[in-house]
Amino acid sequence: MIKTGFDGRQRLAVVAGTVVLVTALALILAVQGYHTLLEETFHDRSLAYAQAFAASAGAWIEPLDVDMLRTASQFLLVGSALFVRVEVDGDLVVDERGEEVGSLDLSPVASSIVPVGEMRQLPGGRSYLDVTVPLSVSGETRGSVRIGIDTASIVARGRSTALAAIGIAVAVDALVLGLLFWSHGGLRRRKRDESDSTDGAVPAMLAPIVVGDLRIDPAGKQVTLKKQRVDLTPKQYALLEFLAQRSGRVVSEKEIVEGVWTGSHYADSKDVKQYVYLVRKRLAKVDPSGRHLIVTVPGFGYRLTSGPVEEELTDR
Amino acid sequence: MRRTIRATGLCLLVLGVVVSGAIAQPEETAIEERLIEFTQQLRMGLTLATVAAYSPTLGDLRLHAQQLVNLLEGSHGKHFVRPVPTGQEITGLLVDVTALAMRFEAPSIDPEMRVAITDAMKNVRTYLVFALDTALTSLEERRIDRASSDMLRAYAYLLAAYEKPCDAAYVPALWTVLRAFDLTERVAGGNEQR
Repeated sequence: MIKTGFDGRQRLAVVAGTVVLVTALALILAVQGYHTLLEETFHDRSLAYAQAFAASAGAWIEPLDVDMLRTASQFLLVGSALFVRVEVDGDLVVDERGEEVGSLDLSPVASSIVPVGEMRQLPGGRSYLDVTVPLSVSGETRGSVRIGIDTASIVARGRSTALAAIGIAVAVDALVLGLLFWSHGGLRRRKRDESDSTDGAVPAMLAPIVVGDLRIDPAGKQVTLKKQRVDLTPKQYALLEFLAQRSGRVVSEKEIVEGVWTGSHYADSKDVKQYVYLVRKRLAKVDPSGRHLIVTVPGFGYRLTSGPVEEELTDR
Repeated sequence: MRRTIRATGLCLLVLGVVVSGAIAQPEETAIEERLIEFTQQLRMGLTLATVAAYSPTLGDLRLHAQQLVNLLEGSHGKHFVRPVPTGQEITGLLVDVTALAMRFEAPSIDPEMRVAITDAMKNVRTYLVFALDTALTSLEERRIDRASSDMLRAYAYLLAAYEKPCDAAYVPALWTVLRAFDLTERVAGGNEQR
């Protein structure tokens, strides 16, 4: 029974480990997938953002209204935009920058006919998406609009999502593991209760006792010798079991009386001798060598043995 | 004496006509300037609506939507939020449109033209109110796609207020007023043909 309990704990540990591992794996995949989605969405929307601004800016190019372009650029700088640069016919007409960018050298980007977005880093390590889109006026490309968009918000959002996911995963783990341990504890309690209800016998005492070819099954109150059943009366069985539980050592007649005839004021060594004789006889009935299993140790008592014994001792 | 009085009266009359003409001239100029300024502000509103609709994050979208609300309502508006800079101190397009409509009541404006432009300005105001409502709705959205849709709708209302010329049927709005004052060339520059 003890061994079975240990197996149960091992099994429980494996299940618990699996639950934690699977949850962690699912968490990593989910957060990673979300990050990819977030970055892709951010990238696409940033390009569209710059294009929308470029389309609006086109309205102030001819006639060139730099004040309106600057005002519109300043609106963007209030948000995630770190800088806004508008280049028309090779001239940089607007170069609005946030405090983070300051006097950073923003090397000119070649005018592109397609929107381009590249991840870059500021000297402090802060990353931003550098977006360049063509600036069209009346269907003709006249320059470009370049906007640096801070990624801090999506990084922060990614972090908060990861933290939330970890929190959920820990809660799920705790719930599953709690249920597992609770059900395991309940099972163990139930088994213990069931064991307690069976005559108060300790589970370990119900384990079969094997001495050589002799097998005693306390649960079934059965004895076999060389796999053949030995018919015994309850008292004979009790004597054999008593000796088997102490196999290999000499047990005195007094011990036997106290252990087998517990509470009896009439039993004595004569009863012990008589019952030893009867048990030997029953064992011999199954197998002739069986009568030698209970060895008489003169002056001390009896011993149950599994191996060959000296004839003179047993024949006494 | 009588001659002197008559001469003085005539001089005063001429002076009065000259002075009144001098006063009337700046008023007409002011209407035109106000209309051009109003058009520029409306264009800025269109820019804010588009950049809001395509903002990379919900935070940016809300910021630009609030900027549009500020632009529409002005500094004394119910939903005006001061921490969001609007570039310069503004009276608000909805305030401006009412003020302009009152100016169109001036006797110097041709009565036939007055009916057309007053009607057009009413439409402008209606579209601006719709745009404001939609921008305010977008501020309450918690999903960027829904807020984007709201801002696209706000853009559509602002565009209708601007009355972008098209071949299909259209509702008279700002462009009709600009045309009445012969300001379309000045406003559009070389960008638009009409």
